Amino acid sequence: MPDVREAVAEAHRREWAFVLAATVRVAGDVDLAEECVQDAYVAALDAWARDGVPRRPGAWLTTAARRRALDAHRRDRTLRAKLPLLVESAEQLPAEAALPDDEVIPDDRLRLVFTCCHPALAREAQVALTLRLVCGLTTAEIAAAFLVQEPTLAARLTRAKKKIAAARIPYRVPEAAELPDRLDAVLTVVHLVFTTGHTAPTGDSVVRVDLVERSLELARMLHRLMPDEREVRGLLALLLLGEARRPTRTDAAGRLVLLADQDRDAWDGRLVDEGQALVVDALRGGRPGRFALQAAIAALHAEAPSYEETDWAQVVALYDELLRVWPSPVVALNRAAAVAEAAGPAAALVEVDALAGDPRLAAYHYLPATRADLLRRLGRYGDAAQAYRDALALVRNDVERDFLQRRLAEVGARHP
Amino acid sequence: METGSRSVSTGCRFRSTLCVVQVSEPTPEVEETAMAQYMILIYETEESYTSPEDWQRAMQEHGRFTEQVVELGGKIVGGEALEPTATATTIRGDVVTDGPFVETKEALGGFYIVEARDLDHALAIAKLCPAGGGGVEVRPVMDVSGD
Repeated sequence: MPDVREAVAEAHRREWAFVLAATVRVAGDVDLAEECVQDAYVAALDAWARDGVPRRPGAWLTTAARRRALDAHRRDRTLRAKLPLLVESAEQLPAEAALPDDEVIPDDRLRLVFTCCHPALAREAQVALTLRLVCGLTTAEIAAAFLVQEPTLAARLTRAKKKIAAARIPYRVPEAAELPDRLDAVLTVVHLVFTTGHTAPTGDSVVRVDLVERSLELARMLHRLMPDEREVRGLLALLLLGEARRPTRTDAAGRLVLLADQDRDAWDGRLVDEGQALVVDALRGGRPGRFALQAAIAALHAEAPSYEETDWAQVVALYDELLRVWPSPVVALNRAAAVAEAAGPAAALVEVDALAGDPRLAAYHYLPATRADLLRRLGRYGDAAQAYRDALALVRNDVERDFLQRRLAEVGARHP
Repeated sequence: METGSRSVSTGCRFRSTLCVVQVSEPTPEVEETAMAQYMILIYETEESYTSPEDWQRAMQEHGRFTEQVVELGGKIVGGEALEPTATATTIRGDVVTDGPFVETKEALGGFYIVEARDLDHALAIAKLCPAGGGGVEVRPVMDVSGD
């Protein structure tokens, strides 16, 4: 029995997206499909204990879930009449709930991803739907990861699924003309899952391992399904290079360690190599996109033997290019931090101060934190202390708060 | 539409309207049955329509739009332009007041009801809809045929 539980858990992790995506086709409705897939996993516990774990658990689960969807349709004839939009139209569906066992089930996971990340849905709904429907996380798990109440998250999911049905958000992969924009939304969602896991906005742990792993799985899945998309490569590279540094981002006491002080020998070489190879591919041919450029910057850090020996001029040049394809004040702030290394803190301070009035950064604690660091390096300890206090008023993550407090104490000691 | 291809009736648990669009091999059947209705609500700044020239230009733009809807494979099944909000009267409970229901910079100036295959198709159509100084809102029309 423990083996069966393990097999079901493993199948949940590996096959959930495939099973659900294939079931949506038959169910014609995301909500019904989700219910059928959940039932199929529950049924697997008994059936596999009785008959043994099937050779292809995913196929077994898909067949079971699709049969349930067909049963639901048979029970409700009017429902069937109302489903003219299925790929397998009513005529093509077997009259009885029988699907051939040797059927090759099409891989619909991309349709599922693009439906979850449709631009007509709010970003937070896209993220919640992707984690629920593609990754198979429970409502409780997603709520915990994003620090919202479970009923709030459940309502968000219900609203989104209702909109998919009522507004007829199509279940398809966008055509070539709209693909770049639509893909960008998908990649943004995956990246958001990663950054949420990597630096939780609040709470006492810098890393939420589960979200990080899920985002990596999503990026790998997208890369397998769309191997020619350079931005997908770029995103996967960016995540791998970020993940490679994860063990060194905090010390044994759980305190934040800056890039400059991280133990580079402890970076995961295997992930770095994989990321580097992808970056090269992502940059090749035509103007690189924003994920490829961010990955290229991460790659420069990864290959530098030390912080001081980083090719800062190249980092700044990549940020210039990034700003062109993605004009964002956050990118400009990151660029300023690189300028501090390439041209000194005084030059960087001018750029940071130019961003100070941007309302989009008004609640962004990295702005005063960056400013504080530059002032500290310029020996303006009194101003630095004030900037650290500004940052502390905005920061929500405990580990980062602790770091800022230590810095504030340091500059306070020099400027009594 | 009378085939009940859209179903947003509230009673049925298995109300289900997810559109599965097969791009590679479209079947004629899907083409026939897959139309749904959307309302395009046009929010405009009324100052955009002060001179006769403004009106003439707007009429031309809307004429062009109706052609484009057909080119995109959609269909306009209704639509009207509304008199300015200065002519509106609002009733809340029993209280009758002069003016629109909500005072906004961009006011509802007109609408279309179009038939489209799915939301993407409806949005592609709505993107071309003229809206002087404002924008449009796209809302699925509820199917209350209840078959």
